Amino acid sequence: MITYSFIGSDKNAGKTTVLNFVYRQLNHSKSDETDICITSIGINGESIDNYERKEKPTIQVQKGSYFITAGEHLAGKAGNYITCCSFCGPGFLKTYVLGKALLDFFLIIEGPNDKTGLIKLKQKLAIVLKNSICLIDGSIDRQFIGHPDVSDYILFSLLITERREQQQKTADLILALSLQLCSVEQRVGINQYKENESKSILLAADGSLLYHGINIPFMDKELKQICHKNRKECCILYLNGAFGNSLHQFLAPMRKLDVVLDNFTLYQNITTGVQQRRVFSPRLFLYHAVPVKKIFLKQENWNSQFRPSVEVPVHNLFRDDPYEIGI
Amino acid sequence: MKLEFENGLIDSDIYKELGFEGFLALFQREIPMVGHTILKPMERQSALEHFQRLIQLDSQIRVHQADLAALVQQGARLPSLEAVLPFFRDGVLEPYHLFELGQFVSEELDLRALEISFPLPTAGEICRTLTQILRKYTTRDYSNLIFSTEEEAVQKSITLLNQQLQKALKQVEKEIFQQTGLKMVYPFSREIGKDDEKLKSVKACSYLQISEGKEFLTLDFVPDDAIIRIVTEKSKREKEWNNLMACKLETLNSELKEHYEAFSDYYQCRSKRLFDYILLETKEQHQLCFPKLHPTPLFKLEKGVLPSLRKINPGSYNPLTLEIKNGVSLLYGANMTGKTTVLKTVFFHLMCVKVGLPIPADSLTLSFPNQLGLRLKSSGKTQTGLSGFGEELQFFCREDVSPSFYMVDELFHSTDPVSGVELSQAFCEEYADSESLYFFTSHYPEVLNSPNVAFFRMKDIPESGEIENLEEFLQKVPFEVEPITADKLKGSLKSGKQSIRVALHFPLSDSLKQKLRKKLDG
Repeated sequence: MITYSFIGSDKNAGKTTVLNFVYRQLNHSKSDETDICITSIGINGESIDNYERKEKPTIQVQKGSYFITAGEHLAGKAGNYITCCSFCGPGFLKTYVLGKALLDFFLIIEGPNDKTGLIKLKQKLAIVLKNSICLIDGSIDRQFIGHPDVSDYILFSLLITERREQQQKTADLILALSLQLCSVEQRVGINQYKENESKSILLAADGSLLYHGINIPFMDKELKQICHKNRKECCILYLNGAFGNSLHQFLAPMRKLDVVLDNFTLYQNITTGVQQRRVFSPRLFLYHAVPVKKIFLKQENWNSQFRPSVEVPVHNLFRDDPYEIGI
Repeated sequence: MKLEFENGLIDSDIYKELGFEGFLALFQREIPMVGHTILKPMERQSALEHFQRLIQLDSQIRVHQADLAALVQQGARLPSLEAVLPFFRDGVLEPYHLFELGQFVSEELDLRALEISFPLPTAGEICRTLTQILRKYTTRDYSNLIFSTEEEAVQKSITLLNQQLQKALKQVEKEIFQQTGLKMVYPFSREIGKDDEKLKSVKACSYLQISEGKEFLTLDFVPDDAIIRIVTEKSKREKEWNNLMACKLETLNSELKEHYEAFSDYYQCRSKRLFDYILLETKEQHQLCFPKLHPTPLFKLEKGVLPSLRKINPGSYNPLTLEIKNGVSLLYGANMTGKTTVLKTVFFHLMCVKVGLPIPADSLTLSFPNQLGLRLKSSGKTQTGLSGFGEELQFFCREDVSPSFYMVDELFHSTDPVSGVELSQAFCEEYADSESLYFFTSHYPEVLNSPNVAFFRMKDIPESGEIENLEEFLQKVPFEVEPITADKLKGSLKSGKQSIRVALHFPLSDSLKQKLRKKLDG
């Protein structure tokens, strides 16, 4: 069982279109032995109809494929699906149902909104649907999507505009995607102190622990104080929380620091909204690398020649030959 | 299952200090039906019934040599129906609820087979009834509804129409390609430049609709009449299908609904029984015991353990054996001989009994604690705004609902020694004839004159042999309580100076130790 997670740089980056496209293509081209399953992290915000303020399905589940959604969305869908198993009780805030579609029908997809719930669900899927591909409608704001326990591959929708701020944001995202993995030594050092709730770990050059934080890093005053105190020393800072503007600016002058982000989704909006950006002196690494399988562009302009310089296939679903976009 | 005390039942500092978290974790299991359980203080009668039921079940399991682990394991297969029951009650169960209900009754019947000699007090017939109804409407594994011939025909027609639609759409994709050279996949739109060479043929293509943007054109599919006809027919059939399914569900729900009350009672009963199995299994696994509730005021503990303390030093840990009666009991002893630990151990066991848990002891016979209070040495808390002395007085302001248990460490050491003695004497006199059990530790020799008070002391370290260091000293602390008369205790306190001896085992400076030795020599 492998998972493909779909994330978008912006609300209108075309993520849902890409998800629908990949889902349909997989259903048409899959072998008989492969099962396709679709779910989501929480409920997709775009599925709320702005006019009627009602939930509006954006996914038509295909006959023969599987889905995982909150039970409440299955009201009135009797006869359209078979129940394969349900997930409830400890670890789940709602009852989630794994169903198999008997017909094509529109359905609101809503999966667990937390890492623990998703991992539990993935473990069960690996047993129930051994040979399957699970598509997860994700969100870049839910940073656990970049964790390998959740996603095996990521399909990234990127909005390209002429707006300077948007271009900077895109450049940041591309940079985050191309960050190198941390060294084995760094990983071993971090692992010594890393726990489930770890949000930050500051290690000295000899591997000794200077700080272990469980609060959101950019709001953690103690972390900042200890980083400042050790600013002239060689240190490793592991972060498992949004690495945004304020923390970026704070750490920027620390030349001897190596920053290790848990995964690329933590690198957020670094260059936007800052008038005078400091040169970021620390070296940046990733703890987990989740391969981005494809990048899908949504371009607002016709003549933009922008193509991100990354080693993954880049497509424009709206402009390229759709039959050339293999999954 | 995760156990937690009801909010406010126990002071958070005492909770941590006495290691309740670790003890409650012993009961943790992955059992969907018994999720987060809040432990609430019991009343005497319900505690009596609770422990009687557990003791009886324990004995039945032993007599019939039932496999407790297998019972818990099978219980873990039962799905939680907490979210299903409201739908059941309102007669609006959906197919996935039926699946969960089916899973429950099927696993439940297997569980009943394991407990045939000690069945649930509620009749299990309800599970068979539900199985029969579910079998009538759902497939064998409860995953799907059973469709009639008429329903199957509608379902097939929808599938057929869908196939026709897919074929027609493929044809449209092909026509578009032939007419314009553009490869498109339904229903995804396509963007082309305003000066695209294919624009002329795109405009001429009846399958495409053009929307003009600022810099490019967006092309969308336009269904032809044949496709519209298929879609219309398909949605008509889908509507029919949904109506048929809604009718089927309504009939099924009305048939099930009348059994809701009986099933809900049964479910609650099962939930309680599973909880009992967990208590029994934990009791077995960790050599715990159930208390014997006594009608008259008493506390008799045999080898009671404070698990958090035993964990630190399992080799030298000495369990507590103690018997106290109603009225006042005063415990004396040198520093570091374990007086406070005695209070903590007693409180730990009392709290477990109060919430219905088995206890880490060989045996415990006691009158059920209506109320329970422990005051350890503290210097006042910011929450109450009172000093340590103020808090100590407030501790005694509660209404005594006998038999209750009240314990104070170092009674009235929170004030000056002269007042402390006077206050201790007055309080001991006041509670000496109470039906409740007041258990205090003290250092005041003057209180030994109080009438009708039971005295205890911590056994001293045997004086023979030299003790090299603090570690050795701690190993030799007997941690035993012995009853003693006031006269004997007076004698030992006068000839005492135990605390000075204890101080000598700490790594103090040589000059200081010399001074202490001089004090000891008189």
